[in-house]
Amino acid sequence: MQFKTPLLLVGIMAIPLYGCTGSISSDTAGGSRSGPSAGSGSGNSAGSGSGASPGSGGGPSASGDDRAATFPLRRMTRIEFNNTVRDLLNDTSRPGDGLAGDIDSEGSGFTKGGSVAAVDARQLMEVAEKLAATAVSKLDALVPCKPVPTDAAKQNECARQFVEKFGRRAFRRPLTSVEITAFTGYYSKTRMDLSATFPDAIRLVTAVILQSPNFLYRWELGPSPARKEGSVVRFNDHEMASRLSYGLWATMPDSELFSAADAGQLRTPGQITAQARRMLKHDKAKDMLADFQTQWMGLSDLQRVQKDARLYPSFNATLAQNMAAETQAYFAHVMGPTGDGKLNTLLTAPFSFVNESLASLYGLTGITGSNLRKVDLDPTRRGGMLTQAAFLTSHGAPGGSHPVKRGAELLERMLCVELPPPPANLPTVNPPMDNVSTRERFAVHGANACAVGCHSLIDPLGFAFEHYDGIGAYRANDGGKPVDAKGTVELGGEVKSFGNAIELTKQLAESDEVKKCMSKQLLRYLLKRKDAAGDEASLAQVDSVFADAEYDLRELVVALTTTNIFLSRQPSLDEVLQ
Amino acid sequence: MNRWSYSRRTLLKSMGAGSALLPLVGSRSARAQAKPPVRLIIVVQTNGVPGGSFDKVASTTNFASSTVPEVLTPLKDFYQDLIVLPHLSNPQYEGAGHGAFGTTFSPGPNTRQPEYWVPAAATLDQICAAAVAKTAPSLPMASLPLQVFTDTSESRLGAFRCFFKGSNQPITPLTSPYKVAEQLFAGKMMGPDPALEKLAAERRSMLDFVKGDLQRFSTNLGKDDQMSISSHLQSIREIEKQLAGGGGVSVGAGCTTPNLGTPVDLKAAASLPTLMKLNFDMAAMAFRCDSTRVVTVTTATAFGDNQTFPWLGIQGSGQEFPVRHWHDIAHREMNGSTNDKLNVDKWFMTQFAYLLEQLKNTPEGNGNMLDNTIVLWGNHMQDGGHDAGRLPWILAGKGGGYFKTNQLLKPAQQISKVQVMCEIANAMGANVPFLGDASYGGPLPLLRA
Repeated sequence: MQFKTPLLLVGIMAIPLYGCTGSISSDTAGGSRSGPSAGSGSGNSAGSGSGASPGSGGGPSASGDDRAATFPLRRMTRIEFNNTVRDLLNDTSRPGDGLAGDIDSEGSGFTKGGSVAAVDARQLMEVAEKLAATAVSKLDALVPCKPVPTDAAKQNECARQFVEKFGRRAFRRPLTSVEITAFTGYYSKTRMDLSATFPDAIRLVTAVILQSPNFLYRWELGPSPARKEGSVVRFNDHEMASRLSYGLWATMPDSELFSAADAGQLRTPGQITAQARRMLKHDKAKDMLADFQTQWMGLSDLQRVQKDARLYPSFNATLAQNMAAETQAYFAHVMGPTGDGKLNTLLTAPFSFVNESLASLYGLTGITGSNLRKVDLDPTRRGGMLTQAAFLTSHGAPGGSHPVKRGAELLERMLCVELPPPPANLPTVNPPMDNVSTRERFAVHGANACAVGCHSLIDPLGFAFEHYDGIGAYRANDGGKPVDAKGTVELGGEVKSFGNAIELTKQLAESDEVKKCMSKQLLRYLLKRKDAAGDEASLAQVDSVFADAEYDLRELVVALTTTNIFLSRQPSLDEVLQ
Repeated sequence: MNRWSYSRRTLLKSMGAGSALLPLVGSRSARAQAKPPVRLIIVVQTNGVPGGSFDKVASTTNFASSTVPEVLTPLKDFYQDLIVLPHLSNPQYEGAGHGAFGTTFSPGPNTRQPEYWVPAAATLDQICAAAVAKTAPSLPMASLPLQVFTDTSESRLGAFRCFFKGSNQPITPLTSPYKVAEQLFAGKMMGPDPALEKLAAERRSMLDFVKGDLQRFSTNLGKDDQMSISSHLQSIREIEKQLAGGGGVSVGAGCTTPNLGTPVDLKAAASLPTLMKLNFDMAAMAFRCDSTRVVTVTTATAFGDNQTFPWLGIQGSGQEFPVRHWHDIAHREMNGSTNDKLNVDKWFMTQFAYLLEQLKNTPEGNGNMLDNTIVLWGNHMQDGGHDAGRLPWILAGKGGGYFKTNQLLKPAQQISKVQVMCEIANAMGANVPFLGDASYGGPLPLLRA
């Protein structure tokens, strides 16, 4: 759940006068983003250092083309952990769900893996023990020697091969001879000191491999120090394989990526883009797309959002799951091999993927069964992701629409505008009453000098969606009168009018602001950090490719994988280099 | 919910029996010091007090005889043990109350991540744990982080974590008191259990190897990254200490295996009263066994959107929210003619009273454990109006003779929360002239005995 602004209160946001400027531009409209402590050294230390706040160390270097950010040591996220364990061990128990939660990465709106402090190591130990025990229960599938030997010398040799082969997949790179000796030595130690049987010893070796920082942290560099090229460090072959697989699939590399890495064939832009395109077409990309979309659009609320049961008796956990499935299927289709990948399609196309329970929400008949199928929708009422139930429900109120939540979400996530926080002591907007529409209730913002600065930006975007109630169903009336969804928005330096969400989304899809914001949001997700000054050259490069590809988002993703910021990193402060 | 393995089942059986088993460190208790150690427990309650509760109170050095605001009346057996601080200032923070949650116990500096501030340095609990570690380095846990509810899917740090080891290093709390019991008190079982012993031996062997692995990994890393690994290493060392079954130097006679009762569903809203008591029981037992001297208890997230209070009979509001959850109650106290917020806050105060009772009923030295403990019941905003510039905090306990209780301090010149934290840190042995920045205010002699 990302960017759940404090609008969960009865929908107000009054901002001090220094807050929002009068327009949406591609720069932030808010006040200073760094707090009073930005000047002090420790600001964003330990784990960040991408230069997101001015004055912090490890930021972009001076020269033009090879600027890149640092890549701080980071643990896998929960989803990455679950997927890696699935692919490494065929284990679908999703143990990552019980680990320390992912944390927001530098206010980018996307999460990164949490740090390991205090009780976390114990959780990791227990998870590793359990995974190892399960894996060893099918010993012949785990170890490379078949059948499993009973002779001690053959067992020792088998253990050594296991360390090499399993270790290579677990650490996502070949082990050095020092490492092989260390882990094989541990195997021998357990047999001697603990009188472990062969299966027990393999189990313990597996458990320490799964607790190794080489497995847990995204640092496939290995024990040899990094080498600089110019002022940056190019990611090596195996690091690139992981960068691609975690970026595009949220999991470890597959055998094709491993082979390409082993053969040194992940170096040229041509080689990398070929892999990226292959990977986007693969089923595993759906995980990444769903994760990106959920975080980007703030949809993780959907499973926990509460709705007024008297007004929305059909809303329950199952319907919420269906809404999530619909919007994920839509995104996966647009971005997949049978879609056209276009930004315009994503935001305006009048089709979706519905099943029986969603059909009644959208006013469709003749649809039965629980599988999702592609259907055309009424283009005067539905167009694109933002008019789907998931977005509207997550950012609605328990008893109706919520123009401030919807508007703020659009501003922040589609237009990359950063809103300053509200001050203390907020007055409340009136609660719902008969004969008063939602729009009328929120009109109070326009009359309040303190509120109008930011709410003149937020509210019109939210009012555009007044035709959709708290669970995204279409309504012609609200508060006893016809819905008024008209408004204006400034895009590209011009004031654009719209009559409703359908018209607004078309204008958003055409705007430079949204196009540039897409590049930024994808950068933030792929690299799990906020964009910063040093990213300008890379962003300009991908924006140009995006335009040439007629705004095919898949080409945008592919383009990001060949930018300097994806291919290289700044060395960290005091890092040992060759 | 209940994933007990064989070894744990044995443990539970003994705990249910409530037998008073002496800890394995019996020999160490002979070396118990004459003066019991000072402990700290920080409880963070959220969403402030009912609006206006502290508007009319005045400073007094005889709180027990003053007119006590209604919200505090559940503490009536402990008035003389309290220091009430109704309006502490909050330097370095601007903005709305919920965003102040993450930095409640931070002396600064802090960084603002959009809408939520997070500490850029260690919070009070870690400062105190570090001070304690200088004189008592072999405690099984430097600090015990507890949380009374299972995690939400919140990911913006400052909205659900308020205890940090340092910048970008939030402390993950333990959300199961059953696991806490197993971790802290398993090592104290008398009598051999082969399954438990085999597990312990395997774990010691694994962790020893993993430590070496982490050290090798860390060799070429930059400074910041080495700090992450060093924090990881420290977590491993803590597990090793727990496996060794050691206690602190000063184990009291009250150290037994705790009675956990029938396990409740950790995720159910109705479990909160049981979980609150169990967590306080764990805290008190951890102090008695000297497993740690710093405990933190998180009772809600910055908002409390999923926290409901069915046992108080609080239902729907009939307006925008179908079920009144904590966030709604904070902003709209009245439900018809009932003040739901007052009822919930008074319930929290009954829990506070329960904790104080556990401490007071533990004889220690010449008095009881409450005499030697500092309880900080903190909050991140004044009330539902989001004012994070005036914080309502309550201290309890004398901290080993350091604090002068039975008072309410509301001076004309506002005192800052950082001053209060500085006094607490010094009571725990930190010996610092100020915390954060000297401009936040120096020492606060009014608090001292």
